[in-house]
Parts: sequence; structure tokens; C-alpha cells
Amino acid sequence: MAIDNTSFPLSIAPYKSRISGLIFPGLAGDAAKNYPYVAFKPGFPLQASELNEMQEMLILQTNLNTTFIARFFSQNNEEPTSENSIASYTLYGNGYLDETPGFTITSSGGTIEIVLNIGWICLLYNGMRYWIYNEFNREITVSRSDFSSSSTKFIKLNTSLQYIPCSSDENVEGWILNDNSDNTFESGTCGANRIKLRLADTPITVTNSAQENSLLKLEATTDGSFFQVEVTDLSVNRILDTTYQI
Amino acid sequence: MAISLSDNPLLTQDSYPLSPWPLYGRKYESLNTKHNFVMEGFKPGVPLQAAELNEIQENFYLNQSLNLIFLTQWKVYKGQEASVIEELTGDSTKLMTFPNFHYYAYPLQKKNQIDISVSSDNVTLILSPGWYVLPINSVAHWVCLFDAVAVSGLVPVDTTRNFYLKFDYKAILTSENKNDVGYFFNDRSNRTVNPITDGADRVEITITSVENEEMDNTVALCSVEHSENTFFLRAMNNYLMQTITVE
Repeated sequence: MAIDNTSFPLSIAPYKSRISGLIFPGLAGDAAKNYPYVAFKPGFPLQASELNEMQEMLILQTNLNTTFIARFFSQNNEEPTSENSIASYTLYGNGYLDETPGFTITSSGGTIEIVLNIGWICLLYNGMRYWIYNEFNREITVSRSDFSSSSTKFIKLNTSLQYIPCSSDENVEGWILNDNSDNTFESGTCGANRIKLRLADTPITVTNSAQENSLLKLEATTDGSFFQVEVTDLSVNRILDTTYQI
Repeated sequence: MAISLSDNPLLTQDSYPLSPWPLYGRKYESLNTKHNFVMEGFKPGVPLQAAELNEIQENFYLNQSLNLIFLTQWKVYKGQEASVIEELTGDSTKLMTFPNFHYYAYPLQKKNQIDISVSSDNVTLILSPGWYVLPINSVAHWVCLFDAVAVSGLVPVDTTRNFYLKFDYKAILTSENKNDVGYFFNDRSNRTVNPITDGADRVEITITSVENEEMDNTVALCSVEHSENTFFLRAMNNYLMQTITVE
């Protein structure tokens, strides 16, 4: 059963936390805004909604941790292949951390298509770990030519961190950080900025070595005129059952 | 091989995006000056600083990140064969459990953060700098040890000896005296410390030493078993961290 983490008790008036609307803006057809930090600045009025938002974000992150741990322990009880092998890699979540895998792999026509599904992902940024919501399916296609220089490749997620300043211009993202206590965003009532973490414009790339946020390892061996590609899920250091032929 | 402080995660400013002026989250600064401030003590009547709200968030993400690293380092797999238990604990009859850090202290890294050296029956335990999780009144806190500490103790054959982390746990008050640690808790929104502004106090935990017997303000960290000519260094969940065999 999916866990409903799309609604929060402090979203309603007069508390006005923005978390729900920012992370799940599907109703507005917009992209998710993952703001793990409220960046409080001296000299600006403190909004009640900012304190509520900070609490909801920390509670949300804590719940994603515990949900992940429960799922991690119940579904991945296999023997590790080496002691420290999973320490530096991404821990993936998915959807509402339900039974659907965090990514989908298919092969056809001489290529492997890897899709990072919509859902929660635990990303690393400079060593710190954050849960962010991936609002779109992200795809990358791997072909035989990708293995021309090396038989081992890694699939890496790319992250981007931005400071989002509060703004009096209603056409920019920071507009919604103005005071919202009377149900509108009133220009000139700026409070805190935000720090935004998201997948980069090129969200997935193929690399030659394991790096921060590497998700999968692909190892190709030649079998006649085909490549057999074995895929290892680095978040649990487990070789997936299926071998893909391209 | 022992590890150094720089081998540990989350000790560089890059990890703390709320550090730059004017946000001034002080988490990185406090770690860089060898202080573990685990909580802020807000006081009625004292103005709230933006930087203090930022530091709450920095503390949270630091704890979240260390918990997740610890989970992936130390997770235990169900359905282990006796041979696997033997490999993990050095004794197939030992119970292997996930570390309960509400009862015992643990290093972040399973290997190389705690080491022993042996001379006859005398064991020297060396703790490398780095992150340790320790419970105080059953509440777990992540604390950085900034300089290596060591202690020796006799472990005669056919005995097991526990070793303990000793800690100090106290409030650090905001101060107008620039020689006090609490001086830096005053408001700095104008880039310099304004010593009359006051601010939230801090709760600081410091690992002061490692001990070979239980005493006030200690928590069990590991054990050393001496069996025949072999010394086994184990974490409190029985994970085998090091083995030394002597002639």
C-alpha cells in the first residue's frame, strides 16, 4: 500500500506551510521544488509559515528515512558481497516507497534503456544526504558504443544546488516566498530564501568510474556478436537477476 | 591501519550550504574549532537569530546523513549461515545483531576507526579521530572525536574486557567575554560579533577519553576477548573489527 506523504497538517490556514504545494505541484502542472533548507536571513521579518515549513520538512525527511529503513531491511536481506561496498553510493527510494522499483531497465534493438522512476531519491551533495522528489521519469539509453573504451560503466545521477532568493517579481520562483498569511503573496514582504536541490538538466550520465550518486554498474562481456550486460544495483550492491543482451 | 580526521565525512564547509554570510549557520565553524554543539538552548526574552534557525537545520541534516551512512555500513543480513557468522564475529556461536546505538557507542566505520595493539596480556586500544555515536540517557548523539585517544588494560587468557567511551555533557552559555566559547553565540549579522546581543546557549558533548572500566559518564564501546593466542576486538553487537594472533 502506498504511503500518502503528499499532505501535511500545517499546510492549511493560518499555518500556511508551503511544503505540500512546492514538492507536489502536479496540480499546477509545474516542476517539483525541493527546498531542503529554509535560509533565514538577519534583518528580514520571520514568517510563521517558515517555521511551520521547516518543521514539516524535517519531519518529512525523518519519515522517509524510517520508511526506507523498513523497506530496506524487509526486502534486501541478502548477503553482502563485500563489507563496505554500499557505503558511498546512493540509496534510492521510489514513488511513495512502495513496491515499485526505483528504476526500470529494458533492452531492445541493441540498446539498454534505464528509467529512473518518479518518486523519492536519497541524493548526496558534498557528502550530505537529502531526500528529494523526482517528479518525472528520467531516461538514459546505453548502446554498444558506450562500451568501446571500457567494459565497465556506471550510471550516475547529477545534482544541482541553487540559492533561491525571495523576490518581489511575481514572474520569478522566489515570488512565492513572500508572506502568505493573508492568502496572497504580498510584494515587499520577503522573509527567508531557500536552498534548492534537484536533479541537474542532464540528470543521468554514463561514467567510467563509481562516483557520488552512482546508481548502477554495467559490466559487458562479449558473447559472439552480442554484448551480455550484467547490471549491479549499487544501492544494495546486488547483481540484478536479468542479464541484458545488446 | 588507523584513519585520520580528514578521512571522515561531513567535516568540510562544502557540506554546509547555510554557512556563508549572511546566513551564518555555525555548524561547520563549530566543528572546525573542535566543538560538538548538538542542540541549541533558546531562552525567553533573548532575540532570536536567523543563524540559530539555520543551525537547527544543519544539525538535522548532519544527523540524517550520519545515520544513513551508519545504516549502510553496519546493516545486518537475516538468514546468515554459521560460516558467515564466523566470518563476521570470529565465533559461529555469537549472536550478530544490528547495532543498537541507544544502549552502546559505535564508531561510524566498521574497520580501522578502532584498533588494538598487544604486548603479552596488555592490550592498548586506540581510537582514531572521527564520528562516534553514543547514547546519553538512551538518546543517541553523533559526536566527533578530533584527536586520537588510547588506553591500556590487561586482558588475561580466557577473559574478555569491555572498553568505554567517557564523555562530558554540558551547557555552554552565551558570553560577552571574547575569551569564552560562548562569545561566538552572540549576533554576527553585521559580520562581527556584537557581544551585547546575547543568543541561544548550546549543549556540547565532548569525548574526553577511552577507559578500561565503567565509571560515571561512560558508555560501552567495544570488547577484547583473549582466547588462546588470539585477541578479538569486537563492537558491542559482536562484529569483529580486528584480530591479532601472537606467537
